[in-house]
Amino acid sequence: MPRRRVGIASGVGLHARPAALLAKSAAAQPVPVTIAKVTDGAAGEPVDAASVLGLMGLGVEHGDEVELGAADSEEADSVLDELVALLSTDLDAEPAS
Amino acid sequence: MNNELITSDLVDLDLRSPDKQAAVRSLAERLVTAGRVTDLERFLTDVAEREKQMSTGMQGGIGIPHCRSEAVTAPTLAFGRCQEGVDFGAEDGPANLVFLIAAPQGGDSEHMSVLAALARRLVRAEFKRTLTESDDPAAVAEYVREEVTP
Repeated sequence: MPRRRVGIASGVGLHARPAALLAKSAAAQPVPVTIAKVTDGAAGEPVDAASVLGLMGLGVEHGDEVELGAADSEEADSVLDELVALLSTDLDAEPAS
Repeated sequence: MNNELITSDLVDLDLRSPDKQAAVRSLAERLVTAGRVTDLERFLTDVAEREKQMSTGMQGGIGIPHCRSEAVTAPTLAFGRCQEGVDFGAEDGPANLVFLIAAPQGGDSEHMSVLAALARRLVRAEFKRTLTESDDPAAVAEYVREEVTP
C-alpha cells in the first residue's frame, strides 16, 4: 500500500474543522484512505480517514506527523498527493467553502 | 468535591429532548448541580459557539458536543441516552448517545485527550452496546471512567 507522511499544519491539530475537511475529502476519493499517528518515527494503528470520529481518536495535534495510506491502485499516488497538500495547509485559516 | 471524570448523577439514561439545544441544556444543568459548571448560560453560549464551527454529530448515532469554558471548574463528561434520537447534524441520522464534554479554559491538552480517548472507544461496537443496554447510571459512570482514560 502506498504511504506518505506529513506534518499537521492546522493550529488546532486534527480536530474540529480540519478533521471535518479531511474526512470529507477522504470520503470523496476513489480508493479507501487510512491515516495513522506517527510517534517516535513509528506509525500507530491506522484508522479510516473518512471517519471524523476515527480522526478525533488519533489525538493529533499541531506539528504531529501522520502517515496516510491509500489502497493499491492507479490513483493511489494522486490521492495521497491531494491529501498531503490538504494537511500541509492551515485549514483553520482558510475561508469556509 | 468529587473530581471524577463522570459520576452517576451525570448520567441520564432517559434523556428526552426535542433538539440538541435542549439536550445540551439538560445535561449542562446536571453539570451545574454537580458543581462542575458555575454559569449555565455562559457555558451554553460557549458550547453553541463551538458547535457552529463544526457539528458534533458523528456517524453511528453519536453526538459529542464539547467546549472549553471559563464556566467549567474541572474536566467533566456528562452522558445522555436518547431513545428517540436528537439531531446533532450527522449525515446518517440523529444521535442516541450524547456525550457533553466540559473542560476548563486553559485545560487545553486535557480536553483533547479526553475527547480522543472517548472517540477511540466510540468506534468500538462493544462500548456502544454496553452504553445502549445498561439500566444502571452508576454502572455506566464506572464503565465510562474505566474505559475513557486519556
